[in-house]
Amino acid sequence: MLEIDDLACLRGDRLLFRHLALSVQAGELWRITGANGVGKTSLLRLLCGLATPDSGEVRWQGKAIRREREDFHAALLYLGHAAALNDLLTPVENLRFACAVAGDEASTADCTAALSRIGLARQLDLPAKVLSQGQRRRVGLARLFLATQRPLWILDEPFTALDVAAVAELAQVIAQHASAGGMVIFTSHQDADFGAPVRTLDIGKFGGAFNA
Amino acid sequence: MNAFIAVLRRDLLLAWRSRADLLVALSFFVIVTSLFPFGVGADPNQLHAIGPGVVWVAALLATLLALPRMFSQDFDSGVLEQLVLSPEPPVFWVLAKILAHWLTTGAPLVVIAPLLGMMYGLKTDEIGVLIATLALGTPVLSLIGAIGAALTLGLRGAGSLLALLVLPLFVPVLVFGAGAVDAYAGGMGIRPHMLLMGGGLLAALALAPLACAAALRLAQE
Repeated sequence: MLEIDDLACLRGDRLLFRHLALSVQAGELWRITGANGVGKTSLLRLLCGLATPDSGEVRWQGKAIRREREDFHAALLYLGHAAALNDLLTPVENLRFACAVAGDEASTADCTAALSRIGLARQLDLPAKVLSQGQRRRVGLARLFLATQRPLWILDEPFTALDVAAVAELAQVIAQHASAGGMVIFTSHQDADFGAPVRTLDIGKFGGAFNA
Repeated sequence: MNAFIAVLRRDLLLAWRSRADLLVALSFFVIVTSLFPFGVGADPNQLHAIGPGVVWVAALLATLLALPRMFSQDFDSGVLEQLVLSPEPPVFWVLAKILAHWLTTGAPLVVIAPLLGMMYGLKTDEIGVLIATLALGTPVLSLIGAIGAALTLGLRGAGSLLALLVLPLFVPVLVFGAGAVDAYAGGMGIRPHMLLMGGGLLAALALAPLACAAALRLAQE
């Protein structure tokens, strides 16, 4: 269970949000909404522990993530705005490296299978620099198939640059993870059919005095 | 340890795929060292006297040239984010990055230094001392430089700021490194110099990865 209460975030001297509270249970799908610049990515980075909140704290299974960092990060999969690829490595090399760093053992065969499943079977040996925006995004998303044992997925705009069929498929993968007892928190400006209830959190409601 | 091995292997592979970049630092080292005889004249005694110092200063500048690359690419591409989110202690993968950096920039300098020593008329045993000091000193440069590279990540004009930040910290390494060769040529023992440099290396090895990991965390905020 992931809990936050009374979270506040400042960017420079501008208050993005405050008094933000949220509790995510196993099996829940949460979508963070709000206009551009309202602080969606900032919130996700706070939830991951990449940034420190200006007030409040984030708790994973009842313990503050600052104190139990290693347990929390072993349970978390975060895919950010950038696809986290190196241009000189092939998709397989990039994916294997990402898994190894995160502590997931994934063989080359596992990575090849995951990449084929996400539609990159013909790009396995190409350096990432020749891939299109959508293909790069897919390499990053292939980690979802190799991280099903991680309960908490935090995805920042996972649907960006994907085609319609890929969006529908990805929505299925996300819904499956939730129905298997996982938790997914994501942001998206695109609608997708998850076939499961999606809870939403509108950051705009927690806006600081400046955007109120 | 998984992260250590994964990062080391990847960084060495990347260095191999972009090997032209590595040649830049190495050629810079050779060219800077070769410039001095043109500037100060070709008197063999004078060249012999300034040789160790010139090689050391050039090695220091060549290391500095390669420093900004250490983390910037991973910072821009989001790989650093994933490294920070690794459940393993950050010290391991930070150390792997520094080791990969030294193997691809510091170690080649050590290998090529004998040629430059000959150019300055250093005797064989003096060249041996020069190599030993470079082998002990260049890892310290990479370790200290890594802190600077992490602190200046994402800043405008990071390269020049990095130079201002780390060059003063390189001074002790330079003093003892070049000093050891001079002391040897003057007939004195080099033991104190080598012990001090070895101690410096151990201290940097223990402390720099911690400081570097903290700086990389801050860069994510």
